Amino acid sequence: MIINQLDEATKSLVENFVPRWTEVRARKSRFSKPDASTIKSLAIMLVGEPSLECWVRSRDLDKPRIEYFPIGLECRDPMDPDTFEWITIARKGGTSEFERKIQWLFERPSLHLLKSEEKCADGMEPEAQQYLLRFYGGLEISDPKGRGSLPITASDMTDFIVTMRVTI
Amino acid sequence: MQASEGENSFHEQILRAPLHRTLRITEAGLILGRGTVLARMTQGVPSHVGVDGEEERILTLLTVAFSKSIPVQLMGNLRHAADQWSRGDKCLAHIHLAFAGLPYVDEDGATRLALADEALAKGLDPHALLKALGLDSTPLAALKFDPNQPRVPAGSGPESGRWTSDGSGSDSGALLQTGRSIATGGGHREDKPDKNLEEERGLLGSESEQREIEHIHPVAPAVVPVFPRLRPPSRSALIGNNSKPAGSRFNTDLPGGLDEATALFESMTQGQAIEKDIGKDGATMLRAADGTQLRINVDGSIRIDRPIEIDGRKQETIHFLGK
Repeated sequence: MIINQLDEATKSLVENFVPRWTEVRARKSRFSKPDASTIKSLAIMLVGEPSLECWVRSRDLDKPRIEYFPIGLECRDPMDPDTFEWITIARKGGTSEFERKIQWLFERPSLHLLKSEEKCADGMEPEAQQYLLRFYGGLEISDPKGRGSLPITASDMTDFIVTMRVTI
Repeated sequence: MQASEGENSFHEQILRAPLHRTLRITEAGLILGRGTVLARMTQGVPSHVGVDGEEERILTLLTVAFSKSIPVQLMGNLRHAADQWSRGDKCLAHIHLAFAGLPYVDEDGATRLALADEALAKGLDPHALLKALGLDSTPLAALKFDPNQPRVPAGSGPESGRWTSDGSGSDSGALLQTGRSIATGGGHREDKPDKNLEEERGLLGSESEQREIEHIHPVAPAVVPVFPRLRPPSRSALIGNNSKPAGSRFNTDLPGGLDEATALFESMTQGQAIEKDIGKDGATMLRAADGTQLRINVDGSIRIDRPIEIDGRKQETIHFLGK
């Protein structure tokens, strides 16, 4: 049985979002940079008017009673107060190697959601009902001119971090 | 009362033994206090803690030790612990013991426990012992409660809903037990209560009347269940019940709320640095170095995420179901 949890509100947000970003930030909590193209953190903020915050959302299903973790997306006014600490990792016009790779991000990139699938069951018995759970597990930001893409994916293994990976 | 030489020797023996303030499983079996064995370790491969058949004795001893009624559900924790021990997972066994949520036993409680054990060994009836100490014996009766016992059907007059010993729900008044869903029978010797009370006090040894009055005062329940210090639990076994596989994770559940979740988390992460974070959704997250995480969501739901290695799955998410 297929369970679709493709959140309509998230889909609508992405379809209607007009990116005008000037900066990329990552939350200081759980921040790591495992390689030159990858950033991991509890949340990523694409700063602009408006900003777009990406994090790992927790959702519960009643049947089967499980918890799953789609990507969370929220439009934010950059002037809104925020108690979290952020690290700026790239700016429009920045000259570091990483910033040069993603300058297209500050032009007019396109956005689309990434679907995730998880097999789950309502028990361990052989006759337990099997399900295929579908939800939005990430957001891909890409350059219409093909200069690169930037998938931001949600993961709960074994921490609740988003991973932003630059591909060229 | 003058203590005999034998009694003095017994008391000295008690006081010489190391004090275990929480339930422990050792080679002797399930122990508490000054080495009082609640359930013996049976010989064999694997060895097993012999909880089954000892329920009445165990509940009686714990009731005396803590001077308060011990819920019969505790036996479930002890059975789970015994099962895990037999499977070789000593850590999980002690987690189940910790989930019993018993407070620390103090010096007096340990002494009471040892004396009660001796009294039972001499043949004193558990109900009579609890009665002598003014303690509630209802949980012992609950051990005999059979929810499948037939009742008189509705519409049968005043007897409707009462337990009956036959399956017919017949009109035979002789088969009816009056009015309570939990039988209160057992070894009460109510025909001569005063005499027996004195005898039972005597069997407990050197208890003065004043001491006994003190013991009747209930021990204040622990706000947070006391968990023994443990190594991180095995990654090859689930802690929660009702496992449901989902992706790379098992969703499981456990009874209890914040106190139980916090105590379990502390038990599993002894000695590790703990970081605290607030999630985007307002969830409070406590995270240990090994990845074990306690999440307290704004809607009040509580989860523990812990790394595992079972059937290719990497994480157990334990949902706490509340009281």
